[in-house]
Amino acid sequence: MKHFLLALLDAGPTYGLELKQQHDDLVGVVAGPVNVGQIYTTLGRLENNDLVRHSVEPSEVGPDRKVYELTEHGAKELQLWLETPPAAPELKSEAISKIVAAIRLNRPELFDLIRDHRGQCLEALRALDMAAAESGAASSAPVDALIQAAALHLQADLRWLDHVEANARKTAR
Amino acid sequence: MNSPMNDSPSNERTPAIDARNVSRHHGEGAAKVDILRSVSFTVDAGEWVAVMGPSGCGKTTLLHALGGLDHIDSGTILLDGSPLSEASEADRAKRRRTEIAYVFQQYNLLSDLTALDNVMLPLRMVGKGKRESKKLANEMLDRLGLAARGNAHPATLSGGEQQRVALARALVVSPLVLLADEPTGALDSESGALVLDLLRDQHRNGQTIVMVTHDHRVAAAADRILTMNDGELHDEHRMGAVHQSDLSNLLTLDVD
Repeated sequence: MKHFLLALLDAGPTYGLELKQQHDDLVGVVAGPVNVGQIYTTLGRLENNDLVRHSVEPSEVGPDRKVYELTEHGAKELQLWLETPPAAPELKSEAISKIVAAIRLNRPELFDLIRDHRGQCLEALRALDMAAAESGAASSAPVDALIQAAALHLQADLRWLDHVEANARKTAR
Repeated sequence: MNSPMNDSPSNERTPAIDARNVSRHHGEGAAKVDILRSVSFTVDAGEWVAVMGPSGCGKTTLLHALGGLDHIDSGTILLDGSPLSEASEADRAKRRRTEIAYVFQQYNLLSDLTALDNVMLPLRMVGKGKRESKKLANEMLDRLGLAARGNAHPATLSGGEQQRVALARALVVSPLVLLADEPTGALDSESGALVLDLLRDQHRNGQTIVMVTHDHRVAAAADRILTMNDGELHDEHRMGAVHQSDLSNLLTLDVD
């Protein structure tokens, strides 16, 4: 969240609520909406670290509003983040742990685990395509990139399940 | 409720497809290979079923058996309540033309005919007149966004357009069941998505579809997904109602 907020602020000064909206428009389809409280908490931390600062803008209709912007230090931090190569690929999956354990122990639960995880992945794929269609994602390159990331990971899980199942059934016969 | 006097479940609609213990093998004796092992399932009218499974699992053989393109060694296949597998070759051929329509991965259009003539062909084969056939074929091409391509020959059409012509040819006879074998398998992702959207439209209009695919994203558009392995059906997933909230936290970004 921290660097992502810095990235959003790099486009120009804005309000906390506007940052939430920008976040949700960009990644809400796959990551869900962010709580606006979380945005303000993160902004507070970033401000303590001199990565962002705010000014108060008086409002005629409501309470005064805080406008946040990147500090010079924040812009450098964003630059450093963007140019640092990502860490080694990392797969965290409860399904992988359980299914590997079930294979190792030759447990009958294996086939239920495969079936349930397959169902979940298929539902998520479908929901993703529906959400993509609704959001007109194809017209936004970053949203499209996120949707493809999620869809291809789900498809990888499904292909892996097919592989594991074919092997397990061969062994069982 | 069923009347106790009536054996047939009158409050249930007859399934579009009812396959019972369908088996198929190649060779005999020591060389015998089972392709389908007592496969049973039903497809409701208006339902969209996807069949998945590794290469050689029997899914295409199953699709061909459902459409009467291949015979079966034992079991029964009922289409709309009446057996196809017991029909004579002549009867099967007739029902193939009126009740069953195919879409193949490689489109299988007749290269010497225009798109329009390809779509008119199944209508002519069931005895419809030339004018009526032309009218219906043009309407179907129009529905699939190909109104301007009727006079084109297949070789001048893109893969996606050829598959849409193939879909038009399949649907123009208002078949009981549309059988689709890897309908998006040869297409780039954009054309594939377009063909998938057209299948969604047909499904919304009540078309019964059985589709073989190796693409999970395509399968996820169906109502139900059957998974085959080594000639057996061993998994079934019925797609539930989905809400976008189900996707929250699917992907976690930039955790501090």
